Amino acid sequence: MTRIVVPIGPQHPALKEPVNFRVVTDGERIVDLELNLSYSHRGIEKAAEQRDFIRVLPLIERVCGICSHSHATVFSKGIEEIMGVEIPPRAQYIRTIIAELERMHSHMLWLGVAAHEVGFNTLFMWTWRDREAVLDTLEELSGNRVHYNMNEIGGVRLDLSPSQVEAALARMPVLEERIRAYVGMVEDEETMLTRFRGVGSLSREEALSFGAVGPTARASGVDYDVRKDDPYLVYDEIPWNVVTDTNGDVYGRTKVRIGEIAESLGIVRHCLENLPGGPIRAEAPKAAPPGEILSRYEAPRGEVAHFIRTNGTARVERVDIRTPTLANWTSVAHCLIGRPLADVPVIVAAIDPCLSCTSRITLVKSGGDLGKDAPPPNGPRGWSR
Amino acid sequence: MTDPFLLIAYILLFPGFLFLFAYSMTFEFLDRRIVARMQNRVGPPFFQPFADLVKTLGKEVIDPRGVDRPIFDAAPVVALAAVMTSFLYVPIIGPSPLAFQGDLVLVLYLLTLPTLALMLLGWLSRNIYAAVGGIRAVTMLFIYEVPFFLALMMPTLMAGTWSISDIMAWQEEHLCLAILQPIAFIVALIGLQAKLERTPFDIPEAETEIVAGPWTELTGRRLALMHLANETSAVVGSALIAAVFLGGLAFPWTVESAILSATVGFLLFLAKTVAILLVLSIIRAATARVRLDQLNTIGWKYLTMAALAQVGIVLVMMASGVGI
Amino acid sequence: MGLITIAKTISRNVFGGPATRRYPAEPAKRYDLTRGRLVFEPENCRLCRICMLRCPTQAIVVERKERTWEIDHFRCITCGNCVDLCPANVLHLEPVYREPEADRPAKEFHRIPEPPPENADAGCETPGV
Repeated sequence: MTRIVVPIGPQHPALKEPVNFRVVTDGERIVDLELNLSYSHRGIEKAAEQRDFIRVLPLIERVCGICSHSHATVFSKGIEEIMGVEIPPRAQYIRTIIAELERMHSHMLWLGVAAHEVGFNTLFMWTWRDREAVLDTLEELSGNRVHYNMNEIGGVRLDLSPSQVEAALARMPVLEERIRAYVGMVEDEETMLTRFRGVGSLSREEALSFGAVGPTARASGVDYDVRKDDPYLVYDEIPWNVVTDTNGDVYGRTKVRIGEIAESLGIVRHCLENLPGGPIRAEAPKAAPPGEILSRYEAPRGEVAHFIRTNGTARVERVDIRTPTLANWTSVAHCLIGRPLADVPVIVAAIDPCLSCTSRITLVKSGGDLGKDAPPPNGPRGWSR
Repeated sequence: MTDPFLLIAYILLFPGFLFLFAYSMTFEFLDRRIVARMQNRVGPPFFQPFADLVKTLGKEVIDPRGVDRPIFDAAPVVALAAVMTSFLYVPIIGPSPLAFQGDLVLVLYLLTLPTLALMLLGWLSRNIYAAVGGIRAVTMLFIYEVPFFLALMMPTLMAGTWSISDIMAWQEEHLCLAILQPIAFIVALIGLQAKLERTPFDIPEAETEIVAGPWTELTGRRLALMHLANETSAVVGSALIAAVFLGGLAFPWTVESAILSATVGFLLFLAKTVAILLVLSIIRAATARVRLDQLNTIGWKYLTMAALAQVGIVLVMMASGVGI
Repeated sequence: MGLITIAKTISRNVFGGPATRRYPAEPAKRYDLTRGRLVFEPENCRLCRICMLRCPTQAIVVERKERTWEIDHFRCITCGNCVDLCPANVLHLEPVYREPEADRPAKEFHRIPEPPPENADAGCETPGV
C-alpha cells in the first residue's frame, strides 16, 4: 500500500495550540512521524531580562496559562534562595494552597480534553463544569481565575481572611464527591477504556530513558515527584502521597491524574485548616547578589525548572525555562510509531502538552522506519531559542 | 388513496416531504437539546436547526481545486433524494399508500445511499482528511450493515411479509416485535446509531482526528443538503424501527372515527420515534468514539453474532409456535 | 457496568437543568477581590510615578510637568501592583469589568488638579529606583 502523509497541524481541531506533525501512514497505521515545534515563540526569556523583580513576575506568570502559579513560584523561589530570604510560614501555606488548586483545575481540564479527544463530550462538559468550582475558589482567594499574581519576592501579595478560608472549605465536599464520580467513570466506562487501555504504552525503562516527568513518568511506575524528592514550600510538613501507577498507558496517566486531584484536594483542605498566623511577606532586598541557581518545582504537568543567573542588580541576567512538556515530547514520538492514526490525538493529549510554554526547541527525528522496539530516536538535534 | 391529488399531497405535503422536513428539524432540535441537558448545558433554541440550514444554504460554495464539479454537486442531492424517497414507504398515518411486498428492502437500500454519497464526496474532495474519512465511512458500512440488515430481516421472518406496513399490521394481532425479538431490536438500534454516524460510531467525521472527514470540503448548499440528508435519515431510521419493532401506529383498542384513529396512530408514531431518539441520544452522550479496528471487533464479534443468534431463536420460536 | 451508571447520571441531568449561568439575564459571578478594572481618583494623586515605574506592561504614563496621568487599558493586565504600591491610595480595583471597546488605544486621561498652596510640597518626593 502506498504511504500517505497526513499533516496534523499547525491548525487542527485536535490541537489547542500550534504544533505540526507530519504523520506518514500505511493505511491507518503510523510508520513515521516528524515533529515540528516552536510555532509560537514569544521571547519571554529575553523579555524577563529587561524587567526588575516586581515587574518580571506577571511576565513569568504568563509563560503558561494553566500553570501560571507554577512558573511564578519556581522563579520567586529561586530568587529568594539567591537572596537568602526565608519566606514566612503563612506565605508558604498560601502558596501551597494556590499551587494545589492550580493542579486540581489543570488536571480537571486535562481530563475534559482527553475525553474530548476520544469524542466523549459528556465527560468533557462535566469536568469543565466542576472545574468552575476550583476556578471560583481561586478567584475568591486571589482575584483572578488564571493569572493569580499571588507571588512576590519574599512572600505573597494577598492574605486569606477567615471568611475566604471558610468559603473555600465549603466547596470541598462537592468537589470530593465529583472526583469520586470521575474515578468510577474512568474505571468503568467501556468505550473510553477501549480507547485508553494499552494506548501509548511506555515502560518504566523507556520512561526513564526518555526523561519523562510528571504524571507521564508516574503512570509508568517512576516514583518521581519534586514535591517529595526535593521538598519545597510545606510539602515535607503535610501528609500526602505520590500517586503512581503501573499501567504506563493513557489509562494509567488518567488514573494518576485523577488520584492527584484527590491528593491535591486533601492538601488544600489540610493547609486551609492548619493555616498558621503571622506575616505574609518577609522584607526582601531590591537587588539580588550575583549567583546561579536551578530552581525546581512540580507543576501539574511535571517538573518545571528555571535556571536563573543574577548579577547583583534588580534584574536577572539570564533565566532559562525548561517546561515539563519539553521533557515529555520525545516519549510521545516514540509512543506514536506503530499506532493507528486515530490514536494521535489521544497519545498527544495524554502528556497534557503545553506548546506555547515549550516553544524553544525544534526536534527533528532522523529518517527510516522505527519499529516499536527500535532504539529511541536521536535526541533533539536543532535548538532554536 | 387512488385520487392522484391526494397522492401528490401525501408525497409532497403531509406526511411527505414537507412534514419530513419540519419533523427532521424538530428531531435535530430535540437531539441537540436533550444531549445538551444531559451534559448540563443549555442547548440551542427551537429554531436553531432551521436557522443553521438557511444560513449554510446562503453561504458561498467553494470548489476545491481540481474537483469534479457535477458529481460533487450531485452527490448531496442524490443522498437527500434517496432518504426522502425512502420516507414514503414508512407508515405514518396508517399504512403507506405506496406499500408493496419488499418495500423494507427498498428502504434499507435507499438508506445506504447517503453513506455511499459521503464516500464519493470524500474521494472527490482531493483532500487527505476527506479521503481518509471516505474510506472510513465505507469500511464502517461493511461492518454495521450486516447485523443491521439481519436484525431488520428478523420481523419479516416472523410476520411472513416483506412489507413494512404489513409487518406493522401483523403486530396489531400479535405481541410487538421488540418484545418477541429483543436482541434484534437492540442490534437494530445500535446499527441505526452507526448508520447515522453518531458517537460512538462517528469515526468517519472524527473531529479531533481527521477534522471533519468527508465533510471537510463541503460548503454552502452542499453542506446544507448533506446535513439535511443526515437529519432526515435519522427520522426515517427511527420511523422504520418504530414501525417494524414497536408496532408503529398500531394500538390494541379500537377508535370509532377514522380520522380520530389516524390521529391517535400519528401521535403514537411521534411518541415512539421520540422515544427511539431518546435512546440514541443517551448512547451518544454516554460513550466515547471507538476506533475503526475496535468497531470491527464489536461489529463482527458481537453484533453479527447476536443477530445470528436471534435468527436461530426466531426459527426455534416459529417451529414451536411461540408468539405466533 | 459503566455505561449503565453513566446512563443513570445522564438521565438525572436531563431533568436537572443546565449548570450554565445565563449571563446577561443573570448577573455575572464576582467576588470582593475580583480584579475587574482599575479606577483612578485624580484628586489626591501626588504624581509620585511609582505606578508608572512598577507597571509590568508600561500601561501607565505620568507626566509631572504637565500634571497628567494616563492609562492604556489595552495594556493594563489588572495585576494590582500599582494599587499595592500607591502611597496616596488613589488607585483601586473594582470587581466590575470594563465595557468592551473597539478603538485602540483605549486610553484614559486625567489631569491632576493643582493642590492647594499650603500642602503643595507634601509627598511629592520621587523615590529613587
